Amino acid sequence: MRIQGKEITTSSGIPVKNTYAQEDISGLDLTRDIGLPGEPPYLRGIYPNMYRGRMWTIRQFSGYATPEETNERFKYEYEMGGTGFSIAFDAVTENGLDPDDEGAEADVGRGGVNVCTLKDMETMFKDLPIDKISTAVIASPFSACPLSAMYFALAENRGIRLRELDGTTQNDILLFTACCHIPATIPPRHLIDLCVDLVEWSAQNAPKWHPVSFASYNYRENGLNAYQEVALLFANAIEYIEKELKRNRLHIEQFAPVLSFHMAAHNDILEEVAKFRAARRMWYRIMKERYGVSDPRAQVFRFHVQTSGSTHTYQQPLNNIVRIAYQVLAAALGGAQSIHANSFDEAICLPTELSVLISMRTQQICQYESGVTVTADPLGGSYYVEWLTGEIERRAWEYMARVEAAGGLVKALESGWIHREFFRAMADYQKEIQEGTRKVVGVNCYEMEEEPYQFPVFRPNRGSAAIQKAKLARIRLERDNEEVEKCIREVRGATERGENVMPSVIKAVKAYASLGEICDVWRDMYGLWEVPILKIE
Amino acid sequence: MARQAKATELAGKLLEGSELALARLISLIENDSASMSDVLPIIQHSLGRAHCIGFTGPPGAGKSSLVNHVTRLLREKGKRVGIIAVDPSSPFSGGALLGDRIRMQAHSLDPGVFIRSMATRDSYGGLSRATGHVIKLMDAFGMDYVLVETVGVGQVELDVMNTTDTVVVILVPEGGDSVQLMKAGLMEIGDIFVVNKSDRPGAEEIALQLQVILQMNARYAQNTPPILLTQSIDGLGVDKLVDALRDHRKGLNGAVLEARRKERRKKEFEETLAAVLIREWRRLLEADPGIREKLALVLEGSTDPYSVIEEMFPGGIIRQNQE
Amino acid sequence: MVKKILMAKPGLDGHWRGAMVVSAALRDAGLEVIYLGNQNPEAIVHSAFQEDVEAIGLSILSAGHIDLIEQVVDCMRKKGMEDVILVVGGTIPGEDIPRLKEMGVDAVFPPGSKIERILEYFKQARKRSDEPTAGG
Repeated sequence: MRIQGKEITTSSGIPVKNTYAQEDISGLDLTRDIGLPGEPPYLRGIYPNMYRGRMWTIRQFSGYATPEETNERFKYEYEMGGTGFSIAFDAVTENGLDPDDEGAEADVGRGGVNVCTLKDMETMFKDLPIDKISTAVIASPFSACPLSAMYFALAENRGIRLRELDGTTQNDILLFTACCHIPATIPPRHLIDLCVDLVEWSAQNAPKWHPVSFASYNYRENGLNAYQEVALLFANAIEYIEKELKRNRLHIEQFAPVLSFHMAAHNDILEEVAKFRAARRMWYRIMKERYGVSDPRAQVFRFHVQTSGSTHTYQQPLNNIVRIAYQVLAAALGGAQSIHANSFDEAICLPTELSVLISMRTQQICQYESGVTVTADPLGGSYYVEWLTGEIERRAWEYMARVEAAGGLVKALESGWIHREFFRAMADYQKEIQEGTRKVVGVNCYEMEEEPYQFPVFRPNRGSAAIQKAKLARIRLERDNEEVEKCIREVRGATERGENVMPSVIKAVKAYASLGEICDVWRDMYGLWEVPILKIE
Repeated sequence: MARQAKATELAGKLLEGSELALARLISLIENDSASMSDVLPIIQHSLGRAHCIGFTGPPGAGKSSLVNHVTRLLREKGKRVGIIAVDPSSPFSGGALLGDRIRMQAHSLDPGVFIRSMATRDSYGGLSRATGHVIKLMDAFGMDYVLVETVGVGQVELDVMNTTDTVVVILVPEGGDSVQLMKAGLMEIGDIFVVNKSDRPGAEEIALQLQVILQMNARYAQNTPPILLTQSIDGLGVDKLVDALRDHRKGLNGAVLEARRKERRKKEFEETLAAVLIREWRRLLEADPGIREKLALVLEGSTDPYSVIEEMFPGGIIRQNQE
Repeated sequence: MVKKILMAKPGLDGHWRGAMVVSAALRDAGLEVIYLGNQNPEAIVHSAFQEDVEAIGLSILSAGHIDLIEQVVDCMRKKGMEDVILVVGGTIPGEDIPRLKEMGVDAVFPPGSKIERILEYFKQARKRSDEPTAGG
């Protein structure tokens, strides 16, 4: 919450009254606007029985150092009750570079795991049942095609049919161009083609795979508020849809069901619940009213939730356990399909086994002890929540219109409009903390001179770069290099002809072409993008 | 070390090729342009070799990227390049966010390239004077080319462009910016015009419009300046720009070039004179209570500046000038 | 007081938020900030050398701070830039701070650091020497 003068608002600055009552929701048609869980407009959830039928997936975002070490961490999570994997790659991999690239060394295996060939993907999932448990490949749009192709190749080599393969690729164009920015990427107007290639190919060949997960989590982490988060999420999805429709290759019913979403759970619990509910109703309306889609599989809004890393404090970090628990609660009350609970130490280091364990136990306690999973949409009908859901939806439509006025998503991205919005939002957020209108325990209130808590700090293996380089060198010696060159030429040919790049990329990774070699094709064709970060003011 | 001795020593090292001396001298001049009086006599004979090119245009026109590509081509020919990237200072805080180096990272470790960012700061023609000095330092350091990049808005930037041999005006297809520029006086100073981001819709049209406008302009009565299309993202068309720069430099034959440089020296002299006068005046003000009283009259509005100046300089400077 | 600073993100990690928020705050406090974005340590130091800045600010959230700062400090030493102030922000564990200071870092600002504290730091900080070092 925020307090400015006499006004009390939600975390997103929506003014809130003392009490809400019947009159605040009198404009709602209870059947048309609210309905029942599992029924249009799906405001109350996408399944009739929600968590009574199936609990959300516990999917921890993990990865560090080498694929060998990450494999150990995945196994640990699996043993502790994890029900989905999610790969955190290092910055080298997200940039579509190889570990032997000049200047890559210090980042290999740091913020995540380094993966550069199919071999690494095989190692990372050694002895893990990927036919039974789904994986999220958290790849940048630039590395998404090759990294997904590696996972597909891994599955095929294990005899798993692609039509049965379950999982997600992040592949969100904003994620590594605006939220973070990877310096080695190509311009967005070409990047979006690669993004949509993966969507198109998956819709036809791997229908259980979600080839994009629009990551409003990261927009929110960059300072946007709840309704801006929803708005940008859908503006982005619409950009992909329009791009694919313009190609005239698939009908919307053929690919809309594979789109998926990844939202944030910030610390204003009821506002977050209202946000998740509003998002479901908005997606239904976009599908039905804007695109005339009648297939319920496309009308339902499926989403993953990550608790908000930016709300963590470096100060008194064990307090973050409590923040994370409240955020998991918000996601559960909001009807999420899968949840990643951050670890309390992430403002300081990559999570340790201990902190990951606490995060998983936090989710399990919420699932089995808190009682919030016993009925679908337990907050449905609350005056405040229903009013706030409507308010967020209204504001989100308005903000979407602003993105459209800025020329649509890709244009707004290239012109720096989106960076400017992010920057303003983050500067304002910072200012509110400075001025104390937004309270953060341990930072601008209840501060302590001495750090009261002790806990272990995670140290990734400093030898990762040497190990990964050596492995790559060996692969380059052992593989059929003529075949690799031929495959790389095919990737280039397909890109030049405007064909879907996925078949040629899959062939290339199967021949053990490296991530960097494949991405170099596109860097060479389109050049690097000038990130408009400095156009923000 | 006394300021003067320091400037002299650095100037000597500059001529020996010390990058450190160049970096330090630029700071010295930026902070106190009077130091140039100690430096100039030492470097005077090493000046005039560099071809100095100004790049200007609206924000977002891709100036830095274009400079980046031009630098790449010049480096391929083995030329040494100095780059001065000018960005505005905040009028409120005096601070500045200088980001042009981001676009020039390809050259960040090239020993044949020296990049320096400069904030506009403030004061009487101060920027163009400081930029002019920095161009000289880079020239004396042995750069074959000095590229100066500024945002094309306002008189300050026009002044900066006047310190260069060749001016490239950069436009982009989108937005109403181009029309604005035509009004803003940039059309009067360009030797070469570039329509950048030429893959975007409207590029051909703006090139045509530009041609019409330039043909109507008296300055270009003899010959219309070249209008080139480029794409600064991948560097398309930049080779033609480099050719045009070379042609323009060639066309600046002895007489024309000398006239230009004379004009520049005159301007420089006047700016220096103005700066010196203002400084002297402020010193006088500090020392003389009588003058402070007179200024107070002007400040409170009870008398006008001309009367006071006339009173202080009985020779009648003002009246003479007005006749 | 520091007037001119170079701000950079060594390596490939793209979290630009902290570096930009601090850069803008410094600009608003009257400093000239050269923003370099992502760069390798050698290029960061070389740019700082050409720009003749009084301070270098690094933003690191990739867990690679020890290696990256080691490289930066090493490059600074080679260029005779020991007198330039080196400041680091980002996800730096508290227990690493003494070690970084030993390596030559002048100040560390972890997440949650107050902007006023950062500004205050630059107001009182000064280069260890204002004299040109020999050679060049």
